[in-house]
Amino acid sequence: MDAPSGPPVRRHVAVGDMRMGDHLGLVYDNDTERRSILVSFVRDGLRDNHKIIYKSDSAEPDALVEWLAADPGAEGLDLAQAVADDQLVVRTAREAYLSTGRFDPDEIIGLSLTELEVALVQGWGGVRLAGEQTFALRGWPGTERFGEFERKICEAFAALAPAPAMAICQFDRRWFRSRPLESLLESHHGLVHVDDVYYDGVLRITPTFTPPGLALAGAVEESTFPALTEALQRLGGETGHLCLDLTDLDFCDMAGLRVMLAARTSPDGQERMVLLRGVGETLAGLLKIAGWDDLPGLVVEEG
Amino acid sequence: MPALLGAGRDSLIHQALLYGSETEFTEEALAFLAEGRGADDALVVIAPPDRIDLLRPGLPPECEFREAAGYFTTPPRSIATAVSVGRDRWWKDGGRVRVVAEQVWKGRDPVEVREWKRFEALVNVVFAGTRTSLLCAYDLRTVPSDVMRIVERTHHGLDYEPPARVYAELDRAPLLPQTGQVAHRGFVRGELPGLRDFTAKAAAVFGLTAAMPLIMAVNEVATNIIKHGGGSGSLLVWSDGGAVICDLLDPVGRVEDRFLGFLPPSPDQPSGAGMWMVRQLCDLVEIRSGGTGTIFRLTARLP
Repeated sequence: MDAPSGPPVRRHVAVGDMRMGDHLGLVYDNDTERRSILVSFVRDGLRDNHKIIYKSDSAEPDALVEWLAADPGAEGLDLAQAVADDQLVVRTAREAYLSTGRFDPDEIIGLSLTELEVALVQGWGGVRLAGEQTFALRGWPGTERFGEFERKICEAFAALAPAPAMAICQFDRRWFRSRPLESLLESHHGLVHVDDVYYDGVLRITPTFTPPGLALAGAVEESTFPALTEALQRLGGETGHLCLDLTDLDFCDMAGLRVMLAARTSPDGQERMVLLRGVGETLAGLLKIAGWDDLPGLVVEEG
Repeated sequence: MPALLGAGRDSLIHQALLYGSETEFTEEALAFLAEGRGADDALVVIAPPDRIDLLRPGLPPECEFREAAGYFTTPPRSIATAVSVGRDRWWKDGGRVRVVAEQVWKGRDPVEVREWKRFEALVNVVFAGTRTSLLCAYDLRTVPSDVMRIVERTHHGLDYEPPARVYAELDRAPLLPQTGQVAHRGFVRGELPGLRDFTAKAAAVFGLTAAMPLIMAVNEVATNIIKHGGGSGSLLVWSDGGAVICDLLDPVGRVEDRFLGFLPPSPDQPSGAGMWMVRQLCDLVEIRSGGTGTIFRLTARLP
């Protein structure tokens, strides 16, 4: 009898930790989360003097740049200037893949490699590629070879080692069916996720998007309390209700608990729900002892 | 302070029933509870089982009975239970509660007796302004005379004294000296993760494995010392054989709050919740504060 095969082990990489040669998948069902990752990708590219090539299937280039610029993480970035400098290039999938009337993986990869060489000659430190892969579902001629295309990108990156490029392929989970998606992801080095907003060895704070909030891992205590307070403040006007995922939180002191409960009032003074998810036995006990487990607006999910 | 007597429905009435026989106890307790039946007061009896048996036949079925041994666990926990049940039931919708309570004095060690004496004074602070009529019963044949002296000073209509004075007097008794092996560690800002590990290991050496409540309490007191006290302190962990004891020393800071940690935190204004939690988490908390700083002694009984 065959040994049962579990799900494939994949690397999970924060976008800010991506290195040249990485070919990662971004599986999303939430556009806020997707944009947050893409904006980090672009921001780091601008900082590192990389050329950024984006292939859009959802919007025309101007609209796509506007959409990126509207992300809170894009504050301080001049994307229009980056477009003018030819550092940020946005093309529609149709012009990128269908110029010859047919989607041809070998031809596209050949063109991309040429573009890569040109960018390096022009003095860019490397190339960042990001593409919305929903185009592959449009029934365009040749797109039945899309799986082969993804595989060949990996091969091309491997042949170039060290590759002067990194890539994020975006898959909308709402449209890619799970079996084909699983096999497509096998042609990637792993999955990319959003950057932590804070990590100091004691506490990790990561944004979450469905529902919006923060995931906390480690310890909320005297040294990390200011970081949590600041992260909660920053969630201000963006979201309605707030979810704090405490599944990986090992320790929380009273001040930390208090500031989480205080988030039931948003920075602009609105009452909102705070959902505490994955609350451990100890923390649940604290809430009960303090008589805070049934405060209005507070929902506690133990587990 | 006899002025408090009968000063309106929103005031605490805290009287003593000093009895010399079971008949006397039964008659006076029932007469006290009967006064409340016309006014629709909640009726509660907290007493040893044999005293409950004396009263039960003379009381309506809706009367609430609690066994003294299960209720009077530690003073902070008894206060917490009363506050929580009171908010949920007794004082709901403007109601008044009538309580007959008899403490267990037999079998308590001197430190426990001292803390239950403190409780007699604290009742006047914690429940001031609540719609409570409390009749505490004392068997003159068995209750020690030093307890009776405190009873007179803490119940209305006798030789009532301000609770802070009684409380402070009880703090004049010196703490018991440390014995045996003492584990020691200093701490400053940023060192609490290490302090928690140290506490866990030391507690385990002395036989306390489920040490999370003690660790949380130590962390909370250390946080207070760092933030509001002298900024640095030291922790000494030792055992008297029956308990693990953590002494936290603040060489500079001074505690000004007489009843620190005994008053329940309000959800709207939750400052001071830290020490309330510490008192709930530990079996005993002793605080001595003066010109040479403050010592917080936290005791966790071994199972």
